[in-house]
Amino acid sequence: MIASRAVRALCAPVVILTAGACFATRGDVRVLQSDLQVVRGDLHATRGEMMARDSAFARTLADVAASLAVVNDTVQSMHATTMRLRGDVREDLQAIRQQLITIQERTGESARRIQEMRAQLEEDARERAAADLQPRDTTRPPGTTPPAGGASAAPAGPGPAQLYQLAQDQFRRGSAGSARAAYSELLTKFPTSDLAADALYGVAETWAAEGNGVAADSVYALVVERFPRSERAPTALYKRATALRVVGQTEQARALFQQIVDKYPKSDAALLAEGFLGARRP
Amino acid sequence: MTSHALTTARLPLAIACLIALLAPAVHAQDPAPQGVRIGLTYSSGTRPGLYILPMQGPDADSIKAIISRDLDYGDRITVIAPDSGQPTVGTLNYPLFARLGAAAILQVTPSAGGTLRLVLHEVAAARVLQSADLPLRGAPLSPEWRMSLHGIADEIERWVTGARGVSATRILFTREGTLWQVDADGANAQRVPGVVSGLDPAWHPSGQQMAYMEMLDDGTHVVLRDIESGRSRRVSSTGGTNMSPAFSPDGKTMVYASGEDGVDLFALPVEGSDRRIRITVGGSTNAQPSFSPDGRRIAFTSFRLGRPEIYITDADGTNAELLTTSGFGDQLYRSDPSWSPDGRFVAFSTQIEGRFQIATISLRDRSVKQHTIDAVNEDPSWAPDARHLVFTSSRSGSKQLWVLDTESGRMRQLTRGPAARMAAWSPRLVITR
Repeated sequence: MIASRAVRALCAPVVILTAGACFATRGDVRVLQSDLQVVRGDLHATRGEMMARDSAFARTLADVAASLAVVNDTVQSMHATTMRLRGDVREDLQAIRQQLITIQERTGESARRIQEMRAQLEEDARERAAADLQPRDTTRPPGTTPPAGGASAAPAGPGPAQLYQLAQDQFRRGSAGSARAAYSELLTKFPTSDLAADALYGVAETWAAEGNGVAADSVYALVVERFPRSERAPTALYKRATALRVVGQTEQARALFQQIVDKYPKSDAALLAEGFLGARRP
Repeated sequence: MTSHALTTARLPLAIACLIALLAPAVHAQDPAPQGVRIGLTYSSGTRPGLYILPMQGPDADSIKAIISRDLDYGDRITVIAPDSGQPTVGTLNYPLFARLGAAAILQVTPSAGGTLRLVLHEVAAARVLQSADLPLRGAPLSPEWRMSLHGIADEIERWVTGARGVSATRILFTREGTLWQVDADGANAQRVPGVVSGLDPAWHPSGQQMAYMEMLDDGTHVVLRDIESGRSRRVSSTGGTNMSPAFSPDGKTMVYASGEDGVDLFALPVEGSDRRIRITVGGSTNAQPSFSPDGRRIAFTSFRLGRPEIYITDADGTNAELLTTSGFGDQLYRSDPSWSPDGRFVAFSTQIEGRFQIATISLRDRSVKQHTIDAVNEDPSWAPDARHLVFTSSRSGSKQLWVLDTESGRMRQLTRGPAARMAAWSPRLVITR
């Protein structure tokens, strides 16, 4: 009994409270609706603001992306320009190098032609000198040989260019001995000629062609000693170094190769020597 | 047999039949004509006539056909060979042979044991000049047997002219991206077994090895191959381009072109050390080396003038100089040098009126001789006799190998079938004495 009273006592206010809500007035409902309307408005406004902000952010992002793309394009363009420039420069350098090589080759060819012309000029001069010494003999038919022992003998033998040309021709024909004789005559008669270094080098080549390596080596050494500033000097050194390498005297060969690189760094022989000095397993 | 040979063979056929009827042998009465004497006496610059007597015995027809063809292709002898007849017995009627245009008479007697009995008669002196028993190797008509017979033909040519023939040789070439070989008479064309990719072949002077360029995904490589065993090893070990191998005449050194940006020539010992030595400089493209017969110089193609030209250099790389100077052909393209085995000429391809032609340049006076006019002709390679060249020509409609006699200008087609190019003529593979 006591328990049922207590339950009733507790239930009564709960029922009143619960039932009280059901008794809200219309005014309360309107207020509530109004509040809800406000809340909805706020939510809408907030959403609008957020959308506006998102939109602005997206625009900013798009702007940034566009800027990045532009920057990227610019960088790429600059990179391409740089590469093109590098290529152009490389190509120009290659072309310059090619032109230099061509000039060198042409110079070499021209030098040979000039050498031939010099020999021809010397021959012409010698013939003219011989003709000048001849007494005018109007009775002798043109083209006939004057009597031997007369004043018609040529005043001098062949000049240095003629001798060099003769030696070269003999060497090409495979006659090393004859070529050596002509080179030697040039060196004896015209020791200060600008062809002297070439002639001495030629002597060494004739020995080498005959398989006399010792004689060739000694004359190559003489080329370096007597004409250290000539173009033949580095080549003669290279010949000596190669001969040493072939017989297994590697250290002596390396020393000579190094000497070429040090003394004649711009010569072709130096490039070849560098190849040997830097040669490792391919 | 060529039409020329047929003509020369038919002409004496009837007369040959009379030989057996002429019983008394009349001795030579005319004095020997003036001229060069190298075994036989004949006028300089002519082709002495060689009468090959009818023969009988095992494979006699094949033996006679092969010997006749070899001697004809040698371009030094006019072969007079009747198509048929009985072997001559007894004394030969030398004056009658002289009237047939024969300076010499060849008697060949095959034996069952695989030996050829050869007797060479000198007509003018009415005597036996040379005789020998020479062996044939291998099964009859096999490639080995044919090659040994070519060796005998070369020896006969030496007896008659003083110069050994070149029929006992082979030619390596490229067909459909791989290597092939063919006998010098055009027989036995066959693919080199075991070579998948092969270009630019070169013969070792021993004839026992070859080198060639192999194309792989990582570039091109130079490969050295033992011909008999087929064992191969890669010589180049750098990437990029490795091409156009050539052997020095002593067989100890190989030179080939190698590089990535520029291409230079490098020398490498064939055996032993694997350290290569650079022999060209200049930063250009340098390729296609060909040694002089004394091994002291190398001819090669270089682009250092901005276009391909032929240069020669000392074998150590010094003294490089332009060989093909201006003054002939189009100033555009000269390549494929091949130094003649006698050292006198360098053969090369040159562009003339827009087409490649074969020319030779004299090492003595630098004079140039053009050898071909028709079609496109390139890639010359000398025979060991320094007289014949094999080259690629399009004159038959497709690229095929042709052989040129540089002295007479006579040409013959060597290969038939799919296109063939990049020929390399071997050294003498059989030397019969």
